[in-house]
Amino acid sequence: MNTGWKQILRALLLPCILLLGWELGVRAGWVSPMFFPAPTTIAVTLAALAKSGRLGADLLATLLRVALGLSIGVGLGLPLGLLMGWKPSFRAIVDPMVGATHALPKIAMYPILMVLFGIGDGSRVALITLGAFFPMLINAMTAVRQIDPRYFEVAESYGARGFRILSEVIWPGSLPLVLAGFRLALNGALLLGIAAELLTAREGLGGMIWMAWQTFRTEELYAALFVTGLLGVAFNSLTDLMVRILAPWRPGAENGK
Amino acid sequence: MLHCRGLSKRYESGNGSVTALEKVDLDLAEGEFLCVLGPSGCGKSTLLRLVAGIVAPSAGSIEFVPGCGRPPGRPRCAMVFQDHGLFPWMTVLENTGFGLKMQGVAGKEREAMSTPVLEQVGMGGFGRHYPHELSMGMRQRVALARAFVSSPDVLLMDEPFASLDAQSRAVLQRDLRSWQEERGTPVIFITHDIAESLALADRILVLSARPGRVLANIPLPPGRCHSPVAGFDPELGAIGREIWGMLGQESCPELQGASL
Ligand SMILES: Nc1ncnc2c1ncn2[C@@H]1O[C@H](COP(=O)(O)OP(=O)(O)O)[C@@H](O)[C@H]1O
Ligand SMILES: [Mg+2]
Repeated sequence: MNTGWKQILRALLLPCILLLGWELGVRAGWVSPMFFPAPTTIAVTLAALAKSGRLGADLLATLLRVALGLSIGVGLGLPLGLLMGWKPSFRAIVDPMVGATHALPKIAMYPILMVLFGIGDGSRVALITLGAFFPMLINAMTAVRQIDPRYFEVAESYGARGFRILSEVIWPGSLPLVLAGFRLALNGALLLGIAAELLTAREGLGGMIWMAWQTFRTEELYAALFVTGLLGVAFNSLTDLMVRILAPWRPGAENGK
Repeated sequence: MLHCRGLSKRYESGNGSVTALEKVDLDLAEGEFLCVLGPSGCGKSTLLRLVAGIVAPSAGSIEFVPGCGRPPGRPRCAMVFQDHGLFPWMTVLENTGFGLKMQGVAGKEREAMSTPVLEQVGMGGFGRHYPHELSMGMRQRVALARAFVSSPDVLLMDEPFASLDAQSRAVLQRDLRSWQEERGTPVIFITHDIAESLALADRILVLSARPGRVLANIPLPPGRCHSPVAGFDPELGAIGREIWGMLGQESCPELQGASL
């Protein structure tokens, strides 16, 4: 506990110095508050946005899109990736196609997605789905392929076949890397969610950033950026927690490595 | 009780095929401890995979006739490997119960059956630990517990003690023999260590270089003490030198005729 607090204080040291310097810089008139509003101004704006309910509504809009796209992307990418890692014949069929589509920057497919799913939330969620699908698929596949063949041999020698191999070897054996893939999928989903909102939405964190920019309310811009950053941090902590709970056997997992 | 006749195995791969085993005959009697010796790459592991039914033979047959009125069929096998034999994602207790789980034994019962066997192999206090928290010797003890608790028809061991230090190896050899005799489980034990085979075996099967064929089938004197220094016994020492000669010629043909 004691060392935990020390660690948190150390992590906060640099941001605090930065914020302090920024605040002083603005107050002393060294930097323009037009482009760099003082942290205290941003904090006041953030509080006002939160109080008015606008921040909550935007945050919720982004979270809903990301959650939906993530669920679909992971729901498709995970089983497909596990199967591709398990069955070389299936991998041979699907892999070239995956390689070709994965090479495309996902954001470049947004216009096509808008043609396919409309310019509203349909195409936004579809884009987020792509952002989650590929890292999940590729990591799940790699996760299965790196399992030591010895474990399959042990399981089979004790009579495990088919589904038993899946539940006793493939799933637990791939879980640590699958969770690492889930983390990338989460980050990919958030990235493309914000990107889609920047381009086409009025609400959501991306929409908020874009509107603030258009109307030149820089303190709102920074407030939205701050919340987006917090969301990223929260997502990463969530996946760290999942690793610790779901894959406790990983050496070092118990001390959070 | 286990009769293998004319076992051959060819592995087909992208760049041609490899004949790993050729026409190997192998018999295993009730309660017998058989050591298989052979140069590296001669198909020893392949032989175990064939008996375990993990790979199918290219030719030949494996017949299993159980003693106690059970109909002939596949032998129930338990395998112990040199390393990575325990699942890192299972605790010691879960690993030990794995064979039982595959036989459909319920969780509570698995635990009740595993606990005494873990105690017997000296790992009683480690049920909740994960394999990475144990030393190599302790892991092999757990692997043995898992093998014994599933009461296999045949225990298959693939160089299980090869990566242990001499001290732990000697202790585990002695323990293995005593547990094996107590239960009467027949064992096929692969090793490349002649002294180890002299210490453990009732009978030694020597394989040739790839493709593995049976070079010699050597019964050892029964009822002796299975000690790690068995090779110092004059009679066993002579057998050991004979095997050295055979294997020396197999792995370095240019040594032909040279005496060791
Ligand atoms: N799955 C496989 N595919 C192709 N070749 C294999 C395979 N497994 C083993 N071999 C080959 O068969 C031969 C015997 O292998 P193995 O049974 O592991 O020998 P040993 O255990 O005696 O060292 C080796 O030459 C090895 O390269
Ligand atoms: Mg081998």
